[in-house]
Formats: sequence, C-alpha cells, structure tokens
Amino acid sequence: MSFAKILLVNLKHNFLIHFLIAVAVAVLTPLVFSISALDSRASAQPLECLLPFIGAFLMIPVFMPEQNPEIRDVIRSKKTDYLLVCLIRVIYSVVAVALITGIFVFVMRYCECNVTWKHFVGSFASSLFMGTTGFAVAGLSGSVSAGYMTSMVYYAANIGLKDKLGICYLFSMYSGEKFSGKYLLILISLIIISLVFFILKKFNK
Amino acid sequence: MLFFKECKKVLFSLTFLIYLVAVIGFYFTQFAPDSEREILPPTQGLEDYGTIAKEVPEILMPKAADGLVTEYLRGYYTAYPIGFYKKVKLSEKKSAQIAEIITEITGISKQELDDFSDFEEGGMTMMPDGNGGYIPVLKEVVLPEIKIPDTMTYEHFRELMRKADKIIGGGSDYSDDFIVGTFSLVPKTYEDALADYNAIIEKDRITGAYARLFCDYMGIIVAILPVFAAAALANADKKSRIQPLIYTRNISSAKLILTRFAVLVITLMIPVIVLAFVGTSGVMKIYPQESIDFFAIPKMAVLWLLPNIMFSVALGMALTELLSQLMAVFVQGVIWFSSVMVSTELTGGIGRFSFVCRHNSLYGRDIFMEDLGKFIFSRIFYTVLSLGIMALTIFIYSEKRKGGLNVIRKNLIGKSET
Repeated sequence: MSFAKILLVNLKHNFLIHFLIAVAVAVLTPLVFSISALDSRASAQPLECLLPFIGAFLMIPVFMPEQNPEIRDVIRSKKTDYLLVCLIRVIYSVVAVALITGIFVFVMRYCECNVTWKHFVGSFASSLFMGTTGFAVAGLSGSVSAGYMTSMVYYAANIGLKDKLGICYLFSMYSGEKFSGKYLLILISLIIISLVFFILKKFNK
Repeated sequence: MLFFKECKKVLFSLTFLIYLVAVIGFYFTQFAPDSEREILPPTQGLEDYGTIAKEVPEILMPKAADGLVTEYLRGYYTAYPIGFYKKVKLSEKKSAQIAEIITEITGISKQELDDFSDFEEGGMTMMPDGNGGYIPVLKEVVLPEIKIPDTMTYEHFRELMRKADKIIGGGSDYSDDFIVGTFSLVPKTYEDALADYNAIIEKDRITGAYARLFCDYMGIIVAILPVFAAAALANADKKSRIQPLIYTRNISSAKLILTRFAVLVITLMIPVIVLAFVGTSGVMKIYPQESIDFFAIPKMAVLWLLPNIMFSVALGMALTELLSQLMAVFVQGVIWFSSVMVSTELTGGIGRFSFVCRHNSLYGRDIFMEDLGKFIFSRIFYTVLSLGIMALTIFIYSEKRKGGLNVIRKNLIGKSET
C-alpha cells in the first residue's frame, strides 16, 4: 500500500473525530479565556492553559484503531509495517497540532493580542509534550485510556508543582520563565516519540 | 463471585496504578507540606485579618450596581448556571432589559450608558517592572458616576438583582446564592479571627480544618481521573473480545453494571481513605496534647469526594457504553476544567452545583460554614445525578445486549456498532 493511500485511509477513518475534538477545544478556548487586546504575557494564558489539550486529543489516538482487536488482526496481517502506519499517523497528528495552534495564534493576532512567533512555538511545544506523555504510555502499554490518563495527570502536576517541573513546566511563558526551555521541550518530545518507536520495534509489539 | 472478579480486574489494571501514583503524588506534594503547619491563633494589632461575607446593604448595593454596570458595558456576563463557568452574551432585547434595571437603580439612561466611551475594565494585569520582568498591578475600573437614590429600598434592590439574574439565565453574581459573597465583603476584625480560631480548636477539633484542606487538594485529582478507569473497564470487554460472550449470559444488565460501578467507586475511594488516615496521623504528631477528632478527615473525604468519584465513574461508564471512551474523556474533561481552572476562588464561593468544591486554607472556617447548605446540596445533587446516570447506563447496556442500541446510535450519530 502506498504512503498516500495509507495516509488517506487513516485520515478518513482514524483522524476526523479526533481532529474535530481538537478543533472543539480551540473553539471553546475563547469562551474560557479572553483573546482580545492582550499583552504578550497574558496572551500566553489561553495558549498554555487550554490549547495543550489538542496535543493530547491528537497524539494519543495514534494507537487507538488497534484497540479494536478485529482491526489489530487485519493490520498485523498486512505486508505494510504496522509501525510505519503509526509513524504516518504521528506525522499528520503533529502537523494538525501545529496547524490548529498556528490558526489560533493568527486569530489572536487579528484580535489585537501582542503575539509573536514565540507564542506559536511555545504553545506548540506545550501541546506536543502533553500529547507525547500520553502517546508514550498508550504506545507502550497498549491502553489508550492509560495514555489519556497520563496526560491528564501530567497536566494536574503542572497545576500543583508549577515551576518545580523545570523545562517540562507547561505554563512557563505565562509565568515568565525562560523561553529557551520550549525548544528543549520540542526536542524532548521528538526523542520520546523516537524511543517509543524504537522500543516497539525492538520488542516487536 | 462477580464483585471480587471485577475488583481484581480494576486493581491490576494500568489505569488504577496511574491513579494510585497520581493520588499519592498529589498527597505528598500538595497536602503533606501544608499539613505540617500548625494552626496559630491570630496576632493582635495586625492591619489585615482577611475579609468575610456579611449582608450589609450599604456595602452590597453600590458594589452590586457597579458590577452590573461593568458587565453591561463590557458586553458579557459571568455566570455559573449549573456550577460551571459560562460567558453570557445577551441579545439586544435582553441587554435593554438590563439597561432598564440599571436606569431604575442609578438613574443613568441606556443612551448615557451606550455613549460612555471611557469605560475600562478593572482587575489584575501584568505590567513591565522596568527590569525585563512583570509585576501584577491592580487596574481600577472606570465607570460612569453611579449614585443610588435614597428612595431605593434594599428589598426592591434585591428584587431587581434577582430580575437581572433571571435575564442572564441564573447563576450570576446577582443571584441569591452569590450576591452577598461577591459584593458584601467586610474586613475581619481581630475578634472575628479569634472566634474563627476558637471554632477550629473547639468545634472542628483541629482535624476538621485539615480535612477541608485535604479534600480541597484531593478533589482536584479525584474529580477527573476516575473517568479513565471507568472508560478502560467499560472498554475492556470489547478489547478482550468477551463482549459477545457476556451478552449471552444469564446475568442481568443491572447486576453487571451496578457491580462494576460499585467496584470502581470502592477501589478508587480506598486510596483516598487510606491517605486520609495517614494525614490524620500526621496532624496528631503536631498536636500531641490536644483531643483531636481521629475520623474527621476520613469522614469529610467520604462526604466531599465520594460524589466526585461517583459522578466521574458514572459519566465515564455511560458515555463509553453509548459513544466512545474519547467522548467520555472529552465531556468529563470539559466539566472538570470549567469547575477547577475557571473559578478564581480558592476559598469560599461554593455554589449549589459546584462540582469541585474548593477551600484551600486551614483557616476560614466561617467562610466554609456560610456555604455549608450549598455544599451539602451540591454533594447530594451529584450523588443523585450519578445514580440517575447509572440507571441510564443500565438501559444503554441492555439495549446493546438486545441489539437495540444500533437504532439509538444511528439516531444520535448516524453510526451503528457491529
């Protein structure tokens, strides 16, 4: 099966509902946090406090179709490597996280918020990392529920532990921490994603 | 026996392990450090002892009028109609009705309000401190001059506030539930603070104060995590392909669903109760001479947190059976977020429909007691609601067994389950 065909089939059957939920999170955000005429720091609040959930809703379901044993059996019986299918899902999910974040930042700019490229990178990093925590657990354990739960526990830990989490602190832009941590967060996310694939390949899951 | 089989399934699941780690982690990072602090009597001669809500018409009326004018001018109203945050934008007709109320209270006409261009919303804002950082600064609200005529009686004023609340849709700051706590805060005196301290020692027998703080912290986590355990358990049959086998068994849907509900609630509650006793033993070490209530924290944990766990489990089971675990997580996530993250009140402000009740202090017993009726109502409400959702889950599950759910699913989402 060609790359394009795998992509299309997955986008059609395994992505749409999760994408719509992620869009719903972005659409609901202005109902909770104001997004008009905010200064640089205040702009980080919606971007860091609510938008990271789109990462969880898009990244964790990468392993969801195979929760259905019938689908799992069919996928495993195919010549195409199962992990390649998962990798394609990861790629389009990360692109979707970037896309929704980008549009949201653009809307904020239109609403006269003082947002820059850094806000996009910061929010994307937070979303990606929150999604990656659940993605890793869902992938290694085979339980999507455990994946969602891990991301949620990580979010709750951010409320309780705050900057004690160091560069893994989700709300660092809003709290005025150093921005360079956000680039590191993206790097750590990519390393974790690679490690998950490596472990899955190694142990032939 | 089914109960113990299901218990084993939950206790050895990954979701329970994560729940356990999260609950213990939250206890040791949040409650434990605070619980090591002793409750001290107030020091005489301080400038500030905090505030307390007392119904004083001379304070309440101008503040509430300011609040209504502010919300009218900014174009939206904050409300908690069923305990969750809602930003209410009114239609022109309803907005004009609010303007009429403002005119009756202040004499300012709708035209004058609409023409007022100097309006600035107050509140905390972050300003540059000159050294590259930011500091929080209180920005004063800028409103037209508001004068309430002497002819306006307090009773009529409250009536108008109720009318405004009705127009907004209920649960606003002008409702009977919130108006005093929002607009009639008076400074506490030393005597008030001392009376509060004495009540903590005598009526709470010390542990009561720690119980409120324990439930405040643990409530954040137990109001959301049970939904994952419930979704995982409801999904487990499908995953292990035993669903068709269970469907054909003699066991009634009610027995199966209620057993699973009971198992989840009990197993998820046990770590909380154990930690409540651990917390009590910690408090006993600080007050070795005092006669403390050994069961205050566990008792409060049951009253305060059990409804949270029950609701989260019930919603998780129902939505996973009806739609999917994704929808269960999303809906519970929205409920949790609008209850925990949107409320700015860490102490006080408990409403009749508050899902996650907050009291992030060892002090302020008087503030909690003010809201006691609403607190009890909210706990009963979520308990009853959970049982109602469970009845619905039983119906959904029986329909699934009979194959009738496909009709419901088709009607709901245009998709049937094979």
